[in-house]
Amino acid sequence: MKTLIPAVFFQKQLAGSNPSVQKPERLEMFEDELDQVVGGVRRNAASGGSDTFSYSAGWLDVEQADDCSA
Amino acid sequence: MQPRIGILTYGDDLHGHLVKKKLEERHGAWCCLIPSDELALRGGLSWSSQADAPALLPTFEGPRVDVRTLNAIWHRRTTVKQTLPNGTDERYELHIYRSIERVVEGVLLEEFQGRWVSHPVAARLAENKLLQQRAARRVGIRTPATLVSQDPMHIRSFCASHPGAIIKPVATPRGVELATTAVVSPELLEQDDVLALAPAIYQECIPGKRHLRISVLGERCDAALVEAEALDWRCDLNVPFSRYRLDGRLERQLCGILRELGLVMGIFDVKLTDDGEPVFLEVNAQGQFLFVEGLCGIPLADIFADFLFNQAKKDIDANPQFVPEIAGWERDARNLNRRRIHG
Repeated sequence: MKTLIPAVFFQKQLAGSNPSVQKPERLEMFEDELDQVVGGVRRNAASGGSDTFSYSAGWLDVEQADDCSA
Repeated sequence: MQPRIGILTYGDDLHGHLVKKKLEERHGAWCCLIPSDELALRGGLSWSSQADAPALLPTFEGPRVDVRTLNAIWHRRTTVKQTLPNGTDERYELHIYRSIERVVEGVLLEEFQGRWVSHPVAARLAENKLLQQRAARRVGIRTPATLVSQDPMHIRSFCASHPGAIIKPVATPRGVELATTAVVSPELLEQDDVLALAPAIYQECIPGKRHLRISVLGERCDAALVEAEALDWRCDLNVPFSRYRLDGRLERQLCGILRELGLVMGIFDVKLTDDGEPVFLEVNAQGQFLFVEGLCGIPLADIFADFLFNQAKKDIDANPQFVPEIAGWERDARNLNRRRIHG
């Protein structure tokens, strides 16, 4: 049986997978700088439990969804 | 009086942590981060109908905060999902998620009386792209011809009238694959069942390679020009980013859109035609902005911290007789006994 997916994802699949794109070096450097500024505090966020459920694999990730409520 | 500011966001959201640090360093403000995805793990939500009872939310820093004592809240990221304590029975996850979601919503809407950045109800509605289009048209900025539909016949008709039409999602929830903007292909238009499964946005394609990502905080606009051939420049950031000066008319229109939507901030996506005409694409009530600082040097974290501080100051100035009884983190929040006095 055919699996149905929404049109936006169907179109994305038709386009095929993009070759992995390198993050700009200046963005990498900026990310490192800011990570030091906050002292890695984010990594302690969920001590005592499972991993945080934020989906934010990359905090600077512009591809992170913009909707403010999940 | 020292402004007190709360930031509601994910526990590992660096936007939140960085702005908190900036608020403390630049302004000496008191600031706490309320980790919206760790409320089951941390516990401590509490509200009572009893007069003068505190309205408590847990903080990233540890002790709970009485939201009645805050002058401003940056309502950045909420979630229905939670990090759960080890051993939680998965069958009750949804019950836990919903219970927390409703209580946080109720505590904030009922008890917080300071400045919202932005009000959660307005922000929730402003995510609706249909309402955004209407707001943009009201302020006189050009918008692309748009169809939002799951009707295959209407979609095919629209795309026939707008060669090169694009498709993009109506919503961009977290936790699912990112749906990017793309040109509608003939193959897609043949798939009635796919087109009918969920509505999507079909839009006139605006030609050009000059895109603007604009942070609007109150009346202040900071724009970055992104020069990219791609329709959706987010997929490859190895393109020129530079600071861009907006003309006064466009600034007024963007601020007008915020007012129409009831927001005090927004991150806008605008495209410039080859003739330089700005075309409104969308606004994100709580969009990502730090990457723009990294790519073109606009000090958006400082700018944002200043904005948030000023919002809190406005609340203090509007309620000069209000003095929260705060003895610091050490005091048990249950002992707080305060009333906001409207002068």
